[in-house]
Amino acid sequence: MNDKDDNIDPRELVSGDASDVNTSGPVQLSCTLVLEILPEAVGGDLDEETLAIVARHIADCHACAKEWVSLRKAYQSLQVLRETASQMPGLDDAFFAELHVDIIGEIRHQALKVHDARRIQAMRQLGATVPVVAPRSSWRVAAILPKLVAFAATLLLGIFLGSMNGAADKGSLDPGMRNATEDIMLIGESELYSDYMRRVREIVNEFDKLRQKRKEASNPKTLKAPPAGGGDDR
Amino acid sequence: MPFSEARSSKPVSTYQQALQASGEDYGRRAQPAQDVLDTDLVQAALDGDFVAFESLVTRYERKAFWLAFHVLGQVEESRDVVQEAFVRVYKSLNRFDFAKNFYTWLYRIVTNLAIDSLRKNKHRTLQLDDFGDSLEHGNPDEPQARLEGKELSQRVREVLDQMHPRFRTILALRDLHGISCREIAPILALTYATVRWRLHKARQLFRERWERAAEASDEPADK
Repeated sequence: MNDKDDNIDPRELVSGDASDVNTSGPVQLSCTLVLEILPEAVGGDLDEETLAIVARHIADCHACAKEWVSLRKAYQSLQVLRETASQMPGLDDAFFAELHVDIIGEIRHQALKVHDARRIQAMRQLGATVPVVAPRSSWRVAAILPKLVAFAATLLLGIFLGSMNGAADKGSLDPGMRNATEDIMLIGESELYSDYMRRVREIVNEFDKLRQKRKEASNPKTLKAPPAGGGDDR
Repeated sequence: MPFSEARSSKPVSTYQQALQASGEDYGRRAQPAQDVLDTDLVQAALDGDFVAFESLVTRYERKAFWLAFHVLGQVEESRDVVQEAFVRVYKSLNRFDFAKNFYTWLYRIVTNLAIDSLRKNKHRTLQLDDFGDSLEHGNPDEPQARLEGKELSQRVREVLDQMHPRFRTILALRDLHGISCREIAPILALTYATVRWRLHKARQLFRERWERAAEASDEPADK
């Protein structure tokens, strides 16, 4: 952390006239310039040559010397904070050992998650079906919600098809109804919804069969000839 | 295939050389010598060697903690910040720029997280518990100089806490951690000139507040 590279020309620090720096004979800086660079000087952020010039000025200038002492005291108080921080009770080797364990533990935990994510991504790229295992508690609601929606949709579908019982006699189901059923069936490709969708298909099939029977019953051409004994006249 | 064989085509890093010289098998827990470069450890970690990353953690965890602590002034928050910083470093290790210093990158994450933490807890007050023993009820056997040092450091902490996070951060980096202005520039994503200006202002501001606090604490004694 050497700060040798930080040596700067004091003239760079001020936007004022560069003539503040007297370059004839031993370099002398004006009070304005010295006061500008004193905050750098207290932290040792000036090169040795500039520091020597500042020191020479301070030795002769009471106002700048006072400013220097003030800044120096504040700077040294900061150093006290650095020195005493490590002596704070509780911030000992045991604390840092525990901190290390915590950091490494958390990173290992994260590493497993990253590894799992990469593994799943690689499996998906290979076309494999990756089962969803042990969803997090925060996802449980999200996982149950589609099931509930599917269940409600099934119920509504059943009620709706039931109400269409009479209308179905006129012909096949409304094309829009078919599309809706297919949409639900697409969702039902997921293993999670297969049970519900099986029910949906059964209901649809039942209705198809029922409708077919009614068609046959209402169509005189398809009526079978009555038995030889005649119908039951009761 | 053993890891060392897999990497046989690559030049042997200083890290590997250090481990081989110490008789340790590659991958076994070992603390690399100080001359092992951070970049070698990062490369090893990227190649799947978790121990190399752990070495980086060992190397910088204390420095990172103290940096966070000097900005935040709170032990638990600093601890969380350091932990989160290393997790972020690990997750984005593949984005590390090998042309830059590792610690510059780490310190940048630490300072950003610390400043974020300050913003979240903007109205928090200084917790004296963070300074351990109560100053009023310090151990009587403790040397007077040490007690004075504690009291002084608490006052400094209070003054720092009143300063804007930008100034606080730069004072922590330069005056408490001794990081040069040229190194601070990439950490704070500032130009070198801005770092110099901000440090200049920060020292002036700290001095003003420090003197004001000293006057305030002296007033009751004068009365």
